[in-house]
Amino acid sequence: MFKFRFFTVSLLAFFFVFGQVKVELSIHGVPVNLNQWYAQPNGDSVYVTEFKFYLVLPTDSLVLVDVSEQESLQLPYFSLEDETVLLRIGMDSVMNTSGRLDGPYDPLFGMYWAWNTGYTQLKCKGILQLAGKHHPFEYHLGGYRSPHATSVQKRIHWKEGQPLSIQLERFLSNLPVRTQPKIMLPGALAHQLFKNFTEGFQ
Amino acid sequence: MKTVFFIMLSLGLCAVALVAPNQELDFFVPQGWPKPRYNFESNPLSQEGFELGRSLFYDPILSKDSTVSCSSCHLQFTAFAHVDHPTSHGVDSRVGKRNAPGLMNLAWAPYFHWDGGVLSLNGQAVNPITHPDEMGSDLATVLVKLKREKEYAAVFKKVFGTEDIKTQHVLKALAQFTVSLVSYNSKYDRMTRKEVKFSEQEKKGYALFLKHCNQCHKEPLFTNYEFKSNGIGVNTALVDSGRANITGKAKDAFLFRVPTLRNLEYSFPYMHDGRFSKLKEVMEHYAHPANWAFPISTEPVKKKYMLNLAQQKDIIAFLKTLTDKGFLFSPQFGYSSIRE
Ligand code: HEC
Ligand code: HEC
Repeated sequence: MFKFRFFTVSLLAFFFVFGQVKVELSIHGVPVNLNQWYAQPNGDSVYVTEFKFYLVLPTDSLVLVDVSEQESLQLPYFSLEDETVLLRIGMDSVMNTSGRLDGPYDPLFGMYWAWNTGYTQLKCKGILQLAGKHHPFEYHLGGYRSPHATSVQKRIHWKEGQPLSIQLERFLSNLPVRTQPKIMLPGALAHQLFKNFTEGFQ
Repeated sequence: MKTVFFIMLSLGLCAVALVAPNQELDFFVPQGWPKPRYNFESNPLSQEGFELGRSLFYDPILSKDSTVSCSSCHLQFTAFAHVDHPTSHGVDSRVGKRNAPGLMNLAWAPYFHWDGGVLSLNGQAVNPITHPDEMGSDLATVLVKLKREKEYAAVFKKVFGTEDIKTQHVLKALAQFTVSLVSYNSKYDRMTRKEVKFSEQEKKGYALFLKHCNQCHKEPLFTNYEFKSNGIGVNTALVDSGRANITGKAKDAFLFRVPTLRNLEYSFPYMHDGRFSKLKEVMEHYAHPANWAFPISTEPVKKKYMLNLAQQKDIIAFLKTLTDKGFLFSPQFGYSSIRE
């Protein structure tokens, strides 16, 4: 416990000195929290119970962002090039199959696909209310084999001191909850949903 | 003065503890075998690491209700395959979908499981530990349970240098044991080393084997690790699409990784769904093209051979030369527990 506290304290001190980047997820401008209903402009609403995804920072370090873990929303500082930053959303195939099992790669975080080596890059679970009816959904989006690899490199506009903003409305309003409330396999559909998510990065 | 002495003494003891290394374990590659594919740098073998993995392999602590261990499905004397059941049983007597394969010569395998979906031996054990039909536990619980056991904590510290047991340490310890399960002392091996001679029947069987079977069950590992179909037909009760589960490609439907034939005599039942319990039945299938169902790979089809009963018996005689009693009954691979 003492060790852990010491570690957190020194980490905080580090960030205090060098700054850090906050990840902000939003639906129509409202910050996303778990276990809360969000009304969409079209009258539907959405309730998210789990939301986690992998990001590869410009420093090449891998982070797992988990909305249920506040600390994971604070990314270690990375530097800018002309007010843009090059991020990879979802690990590439080399990272997927590296065989590393430590740090963010730890299967403990529930992102490791045991029977089909590789990682889920985005896990999202919740309920979508459409025309008054509840549709529970669960999506494990991953896969590193082309053409359905869930890994996208993206240059994002970003200014020092601003949060890294991710808008989820495109992703959440296009979930195929009626036809495919669950996806646990790589493939075209997983790939499409993942793409919707990456388009929410500003 | 006394304090200084004690500080010196404890520093000295620390230094000894630091330099006393794990006893390194050399991985033995039998003569004439290909280079192993396992990345030993990812997990350097040591005597202590092997023993830790062995103890974990036999310990039901890894399962949800502490009833099922790896060895419940992988018994040493059946070449670490599941005996008697066509598909394996786990916690709450849940029945899995596939036959547990024998565990041997895993260092040479490019991928694991009947569909090749698992790419690393280190990560493989996440499957049985978390699979609801197998051990049905979760990794966080396993780590908590292991940390509570003083003996384990001490050995983990020795092997991996930390008492903070992490998933990777448990998995790597298990892999140190499973990767060390090398079987290379069958009569066939001793024949190739010119230590013994085959009987006339074994010789005839070997010749037939080289002609009809070796394309897929390639010596010396008795598999080419490719995905094939030997024409046994789809099991309609399980509808397991095999390799296509992983690739999502129609051309891979109902293909399975060619299994090794080493220690076959003891690793019954046979095939991914354990449908045949006797070698006689397997030979009966291969002997008659009339039994071959769609899909079937081109190797046997091209030849359209028939094997009469005498030839079937010859092949079985040869297959039995792949039994390695030293492996099946070696105390080195048997039950052990560091908790007692
Ligand atoms: C409930 C039965 C069961 C238990 C318990 C079990 N296994 Fe397995 N094991 C299987 C089955 C079934 C397969 C084949 C899976 C497949 O092909 O999809 C397998 C496959 C394997 C393989 C891959 C072998 C190959 O050639 O591809 C290894 C290695 C392995 N198991 C190790 C372990 C370890 C280590 C444990 C304990 C942590 C364990 N198993 C516990 C049933 C079990
Ligand atoms: C086209 C490649 C191919 C050829 C040729 C071939 N096999 Fe197989 N064999 C396989 C495959 C694939 C399996 C696994 C099939 C399954 O489980 O669906 C298998 C399974 C077996 C098994 C069961 C092993 C186990 O542990 O479950 C035996 C025994 C066997 N083959 C013997 C033979 C013999 C003997 C011959 C020659 C007469 C032969 N095979 C020729 C591909 C082949």
